[in-house]
Amino acid sequence: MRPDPGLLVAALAGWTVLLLLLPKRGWRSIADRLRAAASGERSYVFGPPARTGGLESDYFERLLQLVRRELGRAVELGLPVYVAALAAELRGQSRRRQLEGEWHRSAAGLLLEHLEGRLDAGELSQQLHQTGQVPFAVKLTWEPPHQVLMPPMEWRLDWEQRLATASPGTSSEESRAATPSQEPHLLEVRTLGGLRLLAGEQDLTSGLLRRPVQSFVWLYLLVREIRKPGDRISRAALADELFPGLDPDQQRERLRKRLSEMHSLVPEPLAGRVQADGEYVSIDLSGCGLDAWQLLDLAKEAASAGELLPDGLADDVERILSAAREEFLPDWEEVERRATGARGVAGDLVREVRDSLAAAYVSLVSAIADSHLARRQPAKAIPHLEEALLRRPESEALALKLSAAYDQSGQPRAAARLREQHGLTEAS
Amino acid sequence: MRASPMASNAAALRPPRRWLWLPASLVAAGLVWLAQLLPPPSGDRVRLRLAEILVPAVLAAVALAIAMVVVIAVRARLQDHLPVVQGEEPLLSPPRLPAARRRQPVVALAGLESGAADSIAFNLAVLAAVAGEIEVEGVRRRPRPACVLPAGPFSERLGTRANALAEFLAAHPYRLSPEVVSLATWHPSGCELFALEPGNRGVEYLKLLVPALRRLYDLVLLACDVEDRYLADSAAELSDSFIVVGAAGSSDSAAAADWLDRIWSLGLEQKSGLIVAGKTAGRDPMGDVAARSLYHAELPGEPAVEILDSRGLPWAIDQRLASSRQLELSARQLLPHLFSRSHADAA
Repeated sequence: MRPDPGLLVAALAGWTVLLLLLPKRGWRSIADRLRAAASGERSYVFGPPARTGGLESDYFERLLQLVRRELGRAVELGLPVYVAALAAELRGQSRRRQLEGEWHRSAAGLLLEHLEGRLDAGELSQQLHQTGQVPFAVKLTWEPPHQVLMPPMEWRLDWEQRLATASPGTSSEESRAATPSQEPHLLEVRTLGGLRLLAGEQDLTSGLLRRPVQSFVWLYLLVREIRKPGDRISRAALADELFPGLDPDQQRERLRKRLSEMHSLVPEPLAGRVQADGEYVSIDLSGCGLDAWQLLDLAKEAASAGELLPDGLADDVERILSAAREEFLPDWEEVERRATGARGVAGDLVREVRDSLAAAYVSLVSAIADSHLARRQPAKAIPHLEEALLRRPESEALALKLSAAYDQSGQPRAAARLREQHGLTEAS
Repeated sequence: MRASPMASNAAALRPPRRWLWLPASLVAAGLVWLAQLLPPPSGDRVRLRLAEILVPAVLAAVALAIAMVVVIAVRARLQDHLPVVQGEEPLLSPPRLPAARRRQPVVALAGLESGAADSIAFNLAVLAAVAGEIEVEGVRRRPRPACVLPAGPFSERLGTRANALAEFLAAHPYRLSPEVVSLATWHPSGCELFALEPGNRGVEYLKLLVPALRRLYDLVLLACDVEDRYLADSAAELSDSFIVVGAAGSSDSAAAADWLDRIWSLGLEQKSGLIVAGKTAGRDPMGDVAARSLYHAELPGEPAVEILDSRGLPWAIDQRLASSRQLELSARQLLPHLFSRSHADAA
């Protein structure tokens, strides 16, 4: 049977129509692809033309060249999609050109030019500035902490001594220039035999002691200052001392509150002495009269004065000895118990100061006894030495001096008994 | 040196089988011919009806052919405006990556192949330094990211040496001082680069380095390889976002699937994602794996990326490249607070 040519042509023509109309690639992705091509995200909806390369300059030749190249793509996509694809591709390309122009002027484009060596660093910086771009971050550098040298403590002590010994006839201008804390003896602090705080005629002691926490802070700072002039304590350490066992943040917060309350709850001549500078807290006793310091200073002076004390110095020593017999801050334990329940280590510092003051007392007694013995006045030396030996019975030096005084004063039996009690020989 | 995943897949850019329709058409035409040999199913009436469509069908076919030639003629006029690409570009899905919302985020990238994550980590750092913006005490400035790369050819191309850092880390085994910044290599984009010597103490060093860098920089990017599993685990633990980087194709798909399972077992799926680099047109086994991940992104394979990588240049700032545009979209999702301001300005 012969095939009907008409039917065959009709079928082929129908097939060709379908071929030219319908897309043959990923139907489901066509919309996304058209969108991506139109926005410039991709160059072609599907793939580029089959063959690439230069085109002829003659238009007709070029048309034939392109028909050969594009025909496959056009048939593959079907005419409607192909037309839409061309429109999307051209629009996308235009968008890309616009974005590329913007990119060339952007920080990223300028930086790439710089990295490729087409723009030096100065020009890059200048162009960024001109286009109002935020400049790139510069190299992060590290510098070692700047160490500040503190002036030696002797300078401060010398200065305080000068202030303390300043003659009353200083000019009125100088007096006005001096800060209140630098004025001599604006505050008298007596610690031996009991606490007394005197601002002129006014006794501020009870004003301080009625506030347990503030009195603890003030006295603790005082003890530290006596032990080591110019000493200061970190907020963390002070807070730990004051509120042992609490969380560090809570400790600091509470300390901050107590320090700020200091000015409202404690008399200003005392509160003003507490200095909370940044991370450290200290007490400023410049210009204060402090018996503990006087005792320590005098002991040092007497020890360096030699065996025979000058009259003035001997009188000073005699005068201070009665106070020096007393205990340093006898109320401390009660203050500490009320403030912290005596759970901290502040008591150790007080005991240390007590020991050093006791040693200073013994040193003063030794010095004055030596002076009296050197002057052949053993009777004047004996009461001091006996008192000192009662307080420091373990001191062999005192026992030896006392036995020598007994011998000088014609009391050999007493001297022998003393030597026997302390296990000393005549030779020693 | 092993090539980056994008480089290895650039050669795999092949056009899809677009000529399949030709043999299909021939087969169909043959079937029509054979159909003519059979007796007509319903006599002359059917034959008549078929003959009636002959003229319109032929006319339509001719009209379409003419239209196509006209379109192509128009196209010929505009040829110079269309770009030249080497192959069909892949259709990329929009990126979806976990956001690192801390003020100084740490983002770790672990390559399934050695060095696979280095280039992406470096380019993310440069992108953040160039396109990001932050406001500190009322002053707008560019972020200063730090990028920690494993010591190797890539870090050397960027001029970063690992020796000084290794000595410094060995000398400060408990806590790093801010002095560590002096060991960074400054990149003109504003990001700073460190190279970490691979070795037994990598984990220890990383744990020292990350907290120190987090205090000093606006963003910390870590690149490592999953081959060193302890290091990768530490990076995942220390980071706010953990991204596994694999190459498109079948070679990394099994390893990627293993890592996704591992991420789920560690409970890190909310902060972890997968970046498939070097994606080509057509179906990809890595694409199937990525679809299993809660977060994933795709970067296309482009020869220009390989060229820029080999020169130590950041391709992320060349916005003519699809990879760059895709990475920027990814970065905006990954680091929203660094890009929110610049994005608003751009809008």
